Amino acid sequence: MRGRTGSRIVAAAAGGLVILGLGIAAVDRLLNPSRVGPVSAAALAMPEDTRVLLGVDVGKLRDSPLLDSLSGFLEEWLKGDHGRLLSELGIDPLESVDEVVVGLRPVPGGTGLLAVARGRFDLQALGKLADGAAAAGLERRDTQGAALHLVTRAGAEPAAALAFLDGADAVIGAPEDVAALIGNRARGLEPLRSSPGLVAMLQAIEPGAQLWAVDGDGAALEQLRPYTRRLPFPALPEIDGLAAWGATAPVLALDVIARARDPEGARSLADTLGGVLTLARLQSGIFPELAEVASTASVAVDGRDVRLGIRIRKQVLDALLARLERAGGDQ
Amino acid sequence: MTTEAPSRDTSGTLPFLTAARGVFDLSFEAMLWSRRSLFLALLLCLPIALGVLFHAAQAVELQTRITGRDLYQLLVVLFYVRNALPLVALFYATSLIADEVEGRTLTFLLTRPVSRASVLTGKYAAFLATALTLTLPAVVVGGVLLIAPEGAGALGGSLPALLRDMAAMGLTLAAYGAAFTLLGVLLRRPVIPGLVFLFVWEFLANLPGYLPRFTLSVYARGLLPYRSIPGLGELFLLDLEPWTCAATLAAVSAAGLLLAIGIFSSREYSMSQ
Repeated sequence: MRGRTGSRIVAAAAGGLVILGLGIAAVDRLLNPSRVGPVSAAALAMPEDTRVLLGVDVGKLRDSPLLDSLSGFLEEWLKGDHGRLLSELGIDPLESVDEVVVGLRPVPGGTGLLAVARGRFDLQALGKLADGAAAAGLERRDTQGAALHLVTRAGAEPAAALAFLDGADAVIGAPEDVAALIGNRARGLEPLRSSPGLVAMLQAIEPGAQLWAVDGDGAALEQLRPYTRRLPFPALPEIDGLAAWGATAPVLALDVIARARDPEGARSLADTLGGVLTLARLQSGIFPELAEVASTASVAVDGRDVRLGIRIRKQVLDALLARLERAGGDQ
Repeated sequence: MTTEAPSRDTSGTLPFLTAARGVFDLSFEAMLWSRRSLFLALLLCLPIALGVLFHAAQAVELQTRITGRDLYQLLVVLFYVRNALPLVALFYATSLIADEVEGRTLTFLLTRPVSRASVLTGKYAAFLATALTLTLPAVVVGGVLLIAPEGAGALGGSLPALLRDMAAMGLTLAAYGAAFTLLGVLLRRPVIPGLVFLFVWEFLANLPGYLPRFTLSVYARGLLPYRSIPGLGELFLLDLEPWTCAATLAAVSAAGLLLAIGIFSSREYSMSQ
């Protein structure tokens, strides 16, 4: 096959392999056209003033060793209004749900919480269960844009609402927030797309994350500022946004991107983080687990973005948790 | 006894592009079907084997310290951009003319009705085509192998990164290739100086201060946003804007090739019989 034709066949085969690989990636991308980063179209209909988004890929987490750590939190949540609503409908979040996106927004007197779940929901069976549970204070609403819209009542006031938009998307939260999301979706609105900071940080999250969190304007980091002022480091620069995500296999991998106001701010933040990590690496004698975590950590700057990456092996994580537990016991 | 290479009759030379295309065809064929290419193809496909090993390690539940995506990024930034691609450029580009001199076949090329600029341009293009033919499939297969298992949407979300990585590798090859082409026309035996350049001079990229700006490595690495060397060394790493890096590498490629063409066009080659 040697010769000009042979060379061309090899070059064409190489080109074909590249095109095939990129084609597979393009098809994979086309299958999720309406997503912004890890957020599905249904979650993009959350109210525009949503400041922070948190996400869990429940499907990937099912097989994760972290599930044991989260089960306590889940049990606590299931005891609340939203949890009771799910248990009355016989929904097990870990079995029926594949991914959850939680939006946090400031409301008078606290923080409003709205969760959108993707999974597999049997609407007929749920409808029958809902009718049966009506006596227990569950109100069924006929709302355009939702296949099944339920509201629980605490006395005369609506307490929590759950709506199944279709067989794959469900939303749970305060009744007015759920109604707003259903309305947005029915009108084809995706208000979250109009928040450039949030969208930019969502797009920074690498695909495949099992857990993630995004702060579209750095407000969450601002709340840490009183604590960071006590550290013997220069004041942290202003942050425009923050994205953090993690995966639990094969190691606990955590990545954080902080978007500074300008490249100088990014370099300043990176220098501070680099200094903290260097100090942590020097603690191998008295705190070997911290030193190992710091030795795997890295800081990189890309324009305004500072990226911190940390990898923690299971043995190191167990040792760290055990040490924290001992420290808690001593107090 | 030595004979001078015959002086060129430039009155009937072929048009530049036609001549360069002819030289490209001949050189591409010769480069692709060589033992050098076999060795370099094995080297460049090493990440695919590492990807398979990574999944095998996970299948038997061996503890690994990094994720598949981390491994892909490390392979791109440390294996390809820092080591393998400069080596590929060294072995191909230094030999573009040196091999013809060594094999005493340069006379045959220079007596053809083609300009010396078209000879070197055709050979440089053939080097780029061969190197990309060997590199890009390995990178894409490695990427698919290491990223796709993360789940639906993972590979699709990484499409822009894959395209950017491929472009960065192309620029890296072009810049190192032009530098080594220049070395190849300047020196009779350019491989050892080339290795010294790669593994001694380019090491300056890891030092603090202004010196890293005189290396190609710092600009090639600056094209990619992946995390750099973990440890204390990262404190000294120079962070440059990707567009600055791309412009610098493009300028080095153009300047290196033009200088090499200038030297090659004016140099008289003596062929010992």
